[in-house]
Amino acid sequence: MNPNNLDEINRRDFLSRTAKTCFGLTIGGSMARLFDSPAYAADPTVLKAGGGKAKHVIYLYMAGGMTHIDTFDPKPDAASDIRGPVKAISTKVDGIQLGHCLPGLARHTDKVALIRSLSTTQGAHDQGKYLMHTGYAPRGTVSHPSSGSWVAKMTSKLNQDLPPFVLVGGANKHPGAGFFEPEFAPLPIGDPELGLQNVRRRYSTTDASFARQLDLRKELDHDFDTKFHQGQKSVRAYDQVYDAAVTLMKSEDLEAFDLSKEPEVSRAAYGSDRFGQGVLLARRLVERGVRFIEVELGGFDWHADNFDQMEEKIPLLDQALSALLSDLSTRGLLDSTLVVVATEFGRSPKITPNAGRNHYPKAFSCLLAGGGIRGGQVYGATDITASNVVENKIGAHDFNATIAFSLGIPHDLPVMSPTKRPFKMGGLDGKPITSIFG
Amino acid sequence: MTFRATLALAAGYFPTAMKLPRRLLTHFLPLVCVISAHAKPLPDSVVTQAASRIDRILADDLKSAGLKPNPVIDDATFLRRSYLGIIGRIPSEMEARQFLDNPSNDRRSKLIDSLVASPGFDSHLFNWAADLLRVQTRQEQFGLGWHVWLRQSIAEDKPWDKMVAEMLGSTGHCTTDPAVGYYLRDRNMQLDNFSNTMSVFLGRQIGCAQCHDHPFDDWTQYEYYQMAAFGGGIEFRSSDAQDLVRKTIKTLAAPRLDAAPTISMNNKQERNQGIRKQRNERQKLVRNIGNQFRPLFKDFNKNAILEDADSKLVLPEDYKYRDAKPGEVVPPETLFGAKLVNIAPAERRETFASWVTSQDNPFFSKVIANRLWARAFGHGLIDPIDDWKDDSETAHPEVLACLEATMKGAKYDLRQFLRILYHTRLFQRECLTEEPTMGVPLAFRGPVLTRMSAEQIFDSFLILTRGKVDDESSSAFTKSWDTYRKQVAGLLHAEPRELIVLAESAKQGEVLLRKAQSDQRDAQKALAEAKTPEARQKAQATFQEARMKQRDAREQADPFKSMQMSMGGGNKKKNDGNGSLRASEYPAPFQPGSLVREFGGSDRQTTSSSATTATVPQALALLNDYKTDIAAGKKSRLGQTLINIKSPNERLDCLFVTLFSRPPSPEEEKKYRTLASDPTALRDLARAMLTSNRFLFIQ
Repeated sequence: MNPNNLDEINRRDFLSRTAKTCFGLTIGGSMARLFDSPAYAADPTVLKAGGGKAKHVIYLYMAGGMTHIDTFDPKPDAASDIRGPVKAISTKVDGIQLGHCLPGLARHTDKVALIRSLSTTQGAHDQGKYLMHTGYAPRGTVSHPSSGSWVAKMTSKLNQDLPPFVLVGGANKHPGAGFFEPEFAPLPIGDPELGLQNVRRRYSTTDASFARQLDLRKELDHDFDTKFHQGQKSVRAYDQVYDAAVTLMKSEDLEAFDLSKEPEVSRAAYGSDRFGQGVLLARRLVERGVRFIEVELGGFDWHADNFDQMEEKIPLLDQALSALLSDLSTRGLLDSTLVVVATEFGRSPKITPNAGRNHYPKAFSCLLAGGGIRGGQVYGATDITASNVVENKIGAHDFNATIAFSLGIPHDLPVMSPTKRPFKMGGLDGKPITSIFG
Repeated sequence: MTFRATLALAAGYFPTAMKLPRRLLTHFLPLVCVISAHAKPLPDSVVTQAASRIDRILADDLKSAGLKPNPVIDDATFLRRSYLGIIGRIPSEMEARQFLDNPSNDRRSKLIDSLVASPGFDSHLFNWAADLLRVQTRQEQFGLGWHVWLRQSIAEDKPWDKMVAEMLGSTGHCTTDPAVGYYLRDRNMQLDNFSNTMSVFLGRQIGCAQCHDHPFDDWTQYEYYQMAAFGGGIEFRSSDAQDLVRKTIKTLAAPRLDAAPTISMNNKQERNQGIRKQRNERQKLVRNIGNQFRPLFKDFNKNAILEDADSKLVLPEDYKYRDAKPGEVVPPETLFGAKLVNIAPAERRETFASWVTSQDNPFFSKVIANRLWARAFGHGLIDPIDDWKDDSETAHPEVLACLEATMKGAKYDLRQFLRILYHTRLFQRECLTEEPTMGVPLAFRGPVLTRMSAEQIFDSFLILTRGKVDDESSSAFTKSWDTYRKQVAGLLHAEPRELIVLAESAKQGEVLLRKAQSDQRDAQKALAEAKTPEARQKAQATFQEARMKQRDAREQADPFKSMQMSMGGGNKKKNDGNGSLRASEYPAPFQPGSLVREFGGSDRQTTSSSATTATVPQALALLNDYKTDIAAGKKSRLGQTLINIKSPNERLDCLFVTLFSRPPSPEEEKKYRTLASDPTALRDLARAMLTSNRFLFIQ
């Protein structure tokens, strides 16, 4: 398969769909795979360069701008009006230190690559979040797709019944699928404890009833759809989600969304808060073949009381992330799962009179682990006060290109928007950090 | 179906109703406001003229572009669009029939006027405003006060310019000036708050310039700070607290100082020493008492701001441009509209509030007019509605100019302005079949097709499950807020001794908090180092305990906050008075996983962040949730109604009028008549209707 020829993929899709209807029945189970698009083949050049090991991504997003100097990039030798009360702790890997609120992660630094040289110019929340997720700055003329939707589009489904992209605990303003068709939009789970709600048919609804209900729906909408289906993506999206919902209801993998099926010990390990449980849910979904799961943790915008809030919030990340790395490793899933910790910007090194830190896009940190990444390393560096990147500066587009690389997706393959402009997963000219792999 | 045919049909099925004299029928018309705190509505002639002017200009625009306007919609489509668009819910079966059976020629315009004047309008507009401003009732006490203030302002038709000026000029504690919630929403994030002000009220995105010169617009970072400097005097603490501490010190310190030894007047040196000693004693006392009260008033300070004329905005430490130095004071100056410089520090906020809301501000009127246009017709004349550039284009520049003039002419009365928009011919045209293209100005041959908002869906389900709904605002929030205000006032007048006790307890709470935090850190460490499952479990348990202790300690350290917790009302999750409250009467934001959030209701984190994108959980909710199974089962009101109707055709009619606000077409009747004879089949039909695009979308 020539990865540059998306028309080829569409042609195969068309054939497989036609084959299904031609036989007059829906081919289910393993037989269905015979006619499906072949599993996307990782780009051979990417494979040669050490990429393409990951099959899944668990993307943990810290919303609000997580301070870098108090977490992944501590500066124990900086002055106290920069360092504050934060102590740097040693970790499993010699020479790598973390902020004192991350003792759990400290025992797993041999699995991670700390990326300390992120730098952008977007210091406002909406714009920063958008840039981090899409690799592009917001424009009034197009809605760019988020990295999760890119992965959903550029890979094939491992599990035909489950969605390729799930978003747990996401805030409203998420770029979602952008200009991609609705099938690449994330399935949102608002509260992981509630999971996927309403998956069982209403009591005493027979197969026939349910089928009739679905048929009647199409009938009732016949005129409406004739009028609006083609010109309105919003309408097509509803037809798509109903189909996906019905498929999902029949899936044996539904219980992946049900956290009560997970042993108590395991649930406790991740932390009983919503974020911890969301990360656990992500692991379960990876095991069932979901490609990309994003779990969001909000409340990092510490303009005041930075250190008090840090003591409250960072332990949640620490516990969930440590549990995840340990769990994936034990289950042999770490090589095939890329774990990402990202945020929209860092926070100013100079502490404000309110004991806070302000937005700081000029230098900040993210984390990558698994998916072929070589653990126990630091990529990039900042100066003595974590104010400027002094080595290996990268931007959000490079970061996303790296995610593409780990999955074997070509980061620079252009996909056309409806207005015929090309966009890529790695942004305008992002380059993957290949040196951290292998 | 033509109106006459409908009438004939109705006559056949509702013989009794049709025999009633018309005056009795009008008795059931939707409530025209009788008791109202509303402002006086504009005369009908003014409204019609204003609407016609808009239509005329629009028609000219379309003609020049060689485009034809869409045809006018039928009564049933108009009925549904009006109810949803104006009061935010579908009509009940009864309301629908009243309109559809009304033979008078001006029924459409009368419907608009009665809906605009009804309390449902307030609830629907409130959702829009609360989304825009990011009102949260769960975030500290001020959120509740702000909600009550906003609801009240809308109910009494406070003009938009006055509302905005009140918010921008607010100061003090939220119990005395609840509009201060606007600033408290972004406590300690004054610059972010300012960026929001610019985008919400003036449609300008300047947030990026906070950190660097804006690459695309003409904003430099210095200019950003010049505008933000109008808010440079804002301090996020309470002057009431300061005053109360001072007063208490005076009361408590007086006896102690009286007991101090009198200064001997003999020796000058001794006297000076004595005075110095006394002064030091007094200062120490003041400091001690101040420290004792600090934790008690922590919450107070979280719910108030004060304006300090001596406090000024300075450039950030890392300011890198040549035009000024880092840390330099930036004097406030406006960058467009009326040129204002050399502003006295004490007048900064007043000046800013007046400047933003001035009729002469080039963006203020246009932006709100365009926002409301987008609300009424599904898309702005200028789009995006919060990002006006110098070269923003619209397909209808004269309409925009007319809207601006209309807004000013209506003196910023949002209700009357919207009323004018609803009276245009445009509001009666068929929706466009193609969605707007991003970045391309839209030619309004008709309104844009939109999905019901999450709140419209929520409120429509109220109608479906209850047959009618109370559009009035609930008194729960107001009651809670009044209780809180009284408690605060009580505390401000409390005896010094009572305050000391409270302060001691708060101080203790702080000590407990530090201990709990340190315990948590230890437990975290232990958890990380645990080698066996038992050790891990033990560490986990200790960790949870420490977290709980932290929570309790926090409450003790913050007694004002725990006052709010026990208040109920604003913060109770189940504040639903028998489940009949509209979405606007619930604490905001709704919780993740709730129906409103699943359907895209705003999380109130960013402005106007509600969405109508399709998701699988939405489909599942409409397919399988018991709460959306409105026609099935003995408990269902609609189910009961259907059972009690004898003829299948009538049942079908009832179902269609209830769910789609229109009777079935002849083809539909023929197709579904047999289904209507069997309860299970009818139930399936009802379920199918509820999951249809026809139900979810507003044509």
